Amino acid sequence: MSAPVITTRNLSKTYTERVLNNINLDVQPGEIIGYIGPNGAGKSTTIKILTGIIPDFDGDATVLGLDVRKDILEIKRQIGYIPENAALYDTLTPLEYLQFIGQLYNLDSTQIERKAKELLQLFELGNYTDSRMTTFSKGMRQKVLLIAGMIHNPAILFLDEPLSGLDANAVILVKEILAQLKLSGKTIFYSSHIMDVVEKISDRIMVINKGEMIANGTFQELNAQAHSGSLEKLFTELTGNTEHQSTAGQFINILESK
Amino acid sequence: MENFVLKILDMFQGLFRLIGVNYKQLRAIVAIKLMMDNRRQIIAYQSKGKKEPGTAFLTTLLIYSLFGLFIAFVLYALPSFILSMIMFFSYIMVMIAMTLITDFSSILLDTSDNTIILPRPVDSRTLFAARLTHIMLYLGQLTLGLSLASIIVVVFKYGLFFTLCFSLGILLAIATTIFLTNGMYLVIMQFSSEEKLKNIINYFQIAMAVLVVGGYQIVPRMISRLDVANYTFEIQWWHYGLPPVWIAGSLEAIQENTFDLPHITLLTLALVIPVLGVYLVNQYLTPVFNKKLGSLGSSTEKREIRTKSEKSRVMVSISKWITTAGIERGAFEVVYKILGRDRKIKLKIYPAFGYIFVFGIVFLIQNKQDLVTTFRELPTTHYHLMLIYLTFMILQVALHEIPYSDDYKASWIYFSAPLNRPGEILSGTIKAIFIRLFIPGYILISAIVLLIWGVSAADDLLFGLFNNFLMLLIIAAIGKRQLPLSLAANIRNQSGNIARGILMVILIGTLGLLHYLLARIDFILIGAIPIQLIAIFLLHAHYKKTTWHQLTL
Repeated sequence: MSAPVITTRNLSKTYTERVLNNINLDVQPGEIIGYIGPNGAGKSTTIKILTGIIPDFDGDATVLGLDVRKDILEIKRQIGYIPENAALYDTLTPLEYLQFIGQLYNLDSTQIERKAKELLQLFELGNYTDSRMTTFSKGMRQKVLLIAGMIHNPAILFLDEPLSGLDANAVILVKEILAQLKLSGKTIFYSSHIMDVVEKISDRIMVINKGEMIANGTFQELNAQAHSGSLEKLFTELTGNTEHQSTAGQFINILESK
Repeated sequence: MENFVLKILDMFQGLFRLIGVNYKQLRAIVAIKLMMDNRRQIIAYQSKGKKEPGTAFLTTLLIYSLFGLFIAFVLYALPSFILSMIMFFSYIMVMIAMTLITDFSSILLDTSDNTIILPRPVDSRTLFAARLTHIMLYLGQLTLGLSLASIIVVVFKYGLFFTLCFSLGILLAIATTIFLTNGMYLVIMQFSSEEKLKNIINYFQIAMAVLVVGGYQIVPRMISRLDVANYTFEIQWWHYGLPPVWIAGSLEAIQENTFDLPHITLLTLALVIPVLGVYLVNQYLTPVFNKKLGSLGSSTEKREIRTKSEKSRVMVSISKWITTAGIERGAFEVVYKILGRDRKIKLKIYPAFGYIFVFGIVFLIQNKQDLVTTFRELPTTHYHLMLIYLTFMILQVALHEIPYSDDYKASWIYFSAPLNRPGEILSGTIKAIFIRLFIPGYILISAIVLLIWGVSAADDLLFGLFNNFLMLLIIAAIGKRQLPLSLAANIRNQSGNIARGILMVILIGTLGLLHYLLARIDFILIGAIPIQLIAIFLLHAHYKKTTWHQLTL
């Protein structure tokens, strides 16, 4: 095995209460990691620490062999990040926005313009390159964000819920893009709620719950422990919520009560 | 014009590099921010469909210099040097501080930068420098515009050398204000949550709206009553706490060549505080501020806001008194709560409270008597009727604003619910407006009226209370009937409002006049109240029966 591209040792984060508790993980180059957990489990916090958005945390973390605390600028240059809430400057056009992002990486502006136009074309936004994004649907914004996170050709890609708002065709396209990125040697760290996508594309799945890592392995390995059949069932077993059926029953009862 | 600003910025790139800033990135960030400001302003000030002008920078400058004409006139007309300077610098500093708080709180506390720029290879020094540059450019434009006319006045009145000192004073005023405002921000952020900070900023914005209107209405009238020719200014101990006095005093020292101890103290304060401030901001506040800011979006979003239940218990018992159970009560309670919580709505409606006092004072100082006599003779006048009917301003503004909301999409509920008569929602809404907004204001006005005019004014207050509600009902019934919080704020359709507006003014005027005439005869007001109540009852019943067809959607 070659040296891991992402490592954390006892990674912890405390706001008023502890949201991450001693997370240890190693990611090999070229892996696709599916990082899953219930809402508020600490997925986004982990990604924000690794991408340098949250600067103070406990424990150690390295990305591409560089210390997240010391060399964050160099790390940022080589990674891509796609945030969950479609935050972009929506009074700009996609082209202007991507130009701006390119400038922050000190990329050549004619090259950026060409790439941006071609990528927008591929995502069927070719007719919208010069329209303001205020009128864009959530799916269209998500496409622009995907391009903005990858336009500098990063070695590692962090995706936080990248498929939200995309239509079925776009989801298939993104899945395919991720698979081919992996073939070209990129590492992908991916958090999502859509279990069947995670199940299909991840080399390894990590499950966290209440800030703790509770499972880490290939789908087959995890499945062998629990005999669940699908990641969805496995997920509910692992995160300790197996009473969905009775909760649903109560729900109906309350609705019908007088 | 953005390019022009950026070209100026380019001249300082050596300076930026010197302090370790990545200039290319800074320029890109500043450029994009200016571009977005420009577009936002166009959305705010222009009707749709027009092309964006390339001269937005000049236009804004022109608008500010028009604002500045007012203070330039004060500088020109006031014979007292020190007084005119104090007024000028107070004006400039208040405007900068208010702009910083209102327009720039959103930029200072903008967390979208956290997800857009923070994941990119931009170091925090560059990002902060970019933010600060953006603010400085804006403030520079603002101050230049505001003081343009004044500078011309100063050149002609005091000569070129003094103009130089004056301009330096303006720069010092900017630095001092930025330091003080930032310091205040930091202190507030230290002790309270993001949510509280946003509330505080909200009240500043409301105060700003009142202050601007009040300043333009009252200050010129006050000056015209002051005996300005014989005004003499002596430095008091508390003047050392007022930054505008520092700068005005320093300029006086230079102009009149008086370097006694008080003047030297003021001069020292004027020079040392901003320099010290810039150093402190850079050295200590910036890192703390940035760290706080970094955690803004992430840490607090999970903290829920719990609402005190006691307050709402009072509201529930009121609603049981004045609304019928079901749809009307539901609408009453929701609108009542939102009026107290939604910052955008507060910003639009709450300044009306301040306007009452502004116009109350304006009408009071209208006649040319001196203030003492005016106050002494107040109980013999019918001026309290003016106050009673000025309070109606709250209702009028609220009724005008209540159909609009940022969450207008939530109004789907009106259409998906089995609603037979939407009139119940409308009547619940105006009652909520009346109880939540009007009553507190009216209680305050009543207290003032009773204090000055005595218990004999009580019948006027009672009659006025019902009259206000009657007027609210009338304008609600005549005006477009729109569901509360159901329209996007930017698509206001003002057509057909003028005829309605005139009709409203006539009706309100008639009711007010009626009160004035009735008030001359004892006891007749009390006798008229039952008639009022019958009118209210009938109109209310009619309004509550509003059908879907009568609504403007």
